[in-house]
Amino acid sequence: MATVFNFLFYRLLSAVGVVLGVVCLVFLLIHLVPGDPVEVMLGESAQPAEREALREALGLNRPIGIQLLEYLKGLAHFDLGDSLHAKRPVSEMLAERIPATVILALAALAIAILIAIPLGALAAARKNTLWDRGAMGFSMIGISIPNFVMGPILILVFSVWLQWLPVSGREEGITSLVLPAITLGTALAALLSRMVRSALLEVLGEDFMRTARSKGLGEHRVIFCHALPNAALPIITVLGLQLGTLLGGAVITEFVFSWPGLGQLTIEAIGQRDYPVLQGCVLLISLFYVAVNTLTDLVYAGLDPRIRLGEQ
Amino acid sequence: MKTNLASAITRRRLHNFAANRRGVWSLWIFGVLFLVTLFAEFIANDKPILVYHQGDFYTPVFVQYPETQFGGQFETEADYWDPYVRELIAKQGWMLWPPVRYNHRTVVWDLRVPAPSPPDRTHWLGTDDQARDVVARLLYGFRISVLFGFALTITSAIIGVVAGAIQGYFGGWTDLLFQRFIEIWGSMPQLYLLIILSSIFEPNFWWLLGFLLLWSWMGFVGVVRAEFLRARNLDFVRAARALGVSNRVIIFRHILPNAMVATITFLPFVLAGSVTALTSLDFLGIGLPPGSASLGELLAQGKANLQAPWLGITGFCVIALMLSLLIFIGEAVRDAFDSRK
Repeated sequence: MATVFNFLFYRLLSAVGVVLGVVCLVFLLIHLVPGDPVEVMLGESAQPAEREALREALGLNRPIGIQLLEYLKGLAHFDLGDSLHAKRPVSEMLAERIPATVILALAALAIAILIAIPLGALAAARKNTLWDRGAMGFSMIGISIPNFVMGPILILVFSVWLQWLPVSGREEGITSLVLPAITLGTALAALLSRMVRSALLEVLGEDFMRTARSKGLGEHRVIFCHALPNAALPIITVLGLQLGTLLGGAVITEFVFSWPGLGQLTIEAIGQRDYPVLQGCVLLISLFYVAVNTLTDLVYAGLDPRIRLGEQ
Repeated sequence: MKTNLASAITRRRLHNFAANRRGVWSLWIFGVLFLVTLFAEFIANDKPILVYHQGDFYTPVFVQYPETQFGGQFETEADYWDPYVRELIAKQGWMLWPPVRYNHRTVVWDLRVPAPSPPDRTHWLGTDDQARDVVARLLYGFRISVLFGFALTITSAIIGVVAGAIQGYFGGWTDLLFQRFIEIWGSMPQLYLLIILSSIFEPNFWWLLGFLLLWSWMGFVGVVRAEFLRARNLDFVRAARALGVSNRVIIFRHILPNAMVATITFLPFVLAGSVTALTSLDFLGIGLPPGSASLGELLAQGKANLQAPWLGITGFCVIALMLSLLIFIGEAVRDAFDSRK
């Protein structure tokens, strides 16, 4: 038992270390690039004295190391600073945008699952037939088409020609969510359906499958009730890992559909040289990544003793 | 014996590759497309390929000729679209034009409808919203995407393989520190940082290559490192070390060839990823400088001009085709190197 706690402890410790490293690197990167927020805020006509005063007030005239320490100190109190532009706490602005991004990512995940499981099951059940090749060819194309290529074409077909769904933006109800979620979910669906196929194929070769068939169960029941739950483990792992990617990758989809999430906020913050907001967005996305990766590792370790013991 | 064995392995790999028909066809199609676009200047250009004038041959694609050469008045480069210049040349010779008489920058002034104009007989795929021929932009855009992809793939493979080799070979603290660094570096949200970097510097081809290289090399480290960690204690490496062979020679001559298989299998997928990365930055408007032929920009135009569906559909089809071909090739390469086959 002690080894398990040791493993947990070290894994969490290293996750914290990674987050700290990312925070420092991103802070330095953002502050070392040229471009002056004071200039953007006051305009070019401002007097030098005014600029100095503002710099003083924002703490931008201090050495970068001190600024970094101040930022970390704030972070320890969950204080991400105030937006230079909107003059509001960054945490508040982030909190406003998180739901949109999370809803989009979850909807994309749901769509991916809804497409991938039937498709993968079909391919596995009819291995090496035209169905299999068709499904896998379809998924290959899904993997190779990036979401920013998919988005405009979906808008063209469903919003402009058929006029079924809104072009962009977020409105009440579910209609405005459909296209962005499909766009973001397709690639994952394609990847996942391949995972489902290979995981199912492995399970379908087992003895208990023959038992299930020999006691007269229908093929549907065999696959969905007996094979799929046993094939779920690797599928769930991939899903977990991909959730982090979905949250990070939503920025382009958000851009395509003018979806008011974190990606949009980042792009706005870049335009306004709003360091604290930018830093907050990047920090949050990194946190998602690291959290999801750590969780996946922990789940793995829980399932496979070789991993937690091998680390010793 | 050694050469026989090597060629037997190579033969088996080639055989496996050829057995994947979809991959072979994809390689042919992609190869032909790339070769054709390499000579884009001879297919889509606003200058003739060959001019015959007063008994002499001229090649405007390679050389800039002043208008005076053909009996005109100005010292500046001849504008072969100018009716006056055309008349001068037609009087005492002829011009051989490429099939598409526009290049990717040519603005077509005499469109009958406002740009973007729909496909017709002169502009097979129409024009974009700045009245430039879409066929010409596709040809040049495809070429620059693939060249960029190749450049990024090769440079990141070199850096990634060297980094992985050093980590795996020396192990211990070197490995530990490197791994922690990669963990942190890899946890930074790349796309966000790329957007930030590209919005601050005005990127060109080489800048973008550098930005993307910052992260793309890491994909290679894992497999190479693992292979080196395994091989560093094998007998042939220990023997080489005992004989006093230098680390560099052991790394590059003795272990690296074993680690290359996994790397090569990766390459087509990394190429597809590199092309996608460039195209997505172009799509967001922070990629190649304005005016460059770019598939991502075509797609962005398609999105901004929903009334002109030929832009979006063309962009979609070309990018989807190119990336699908690359993935199919990648699958065939992976099959070829699969020792279980």
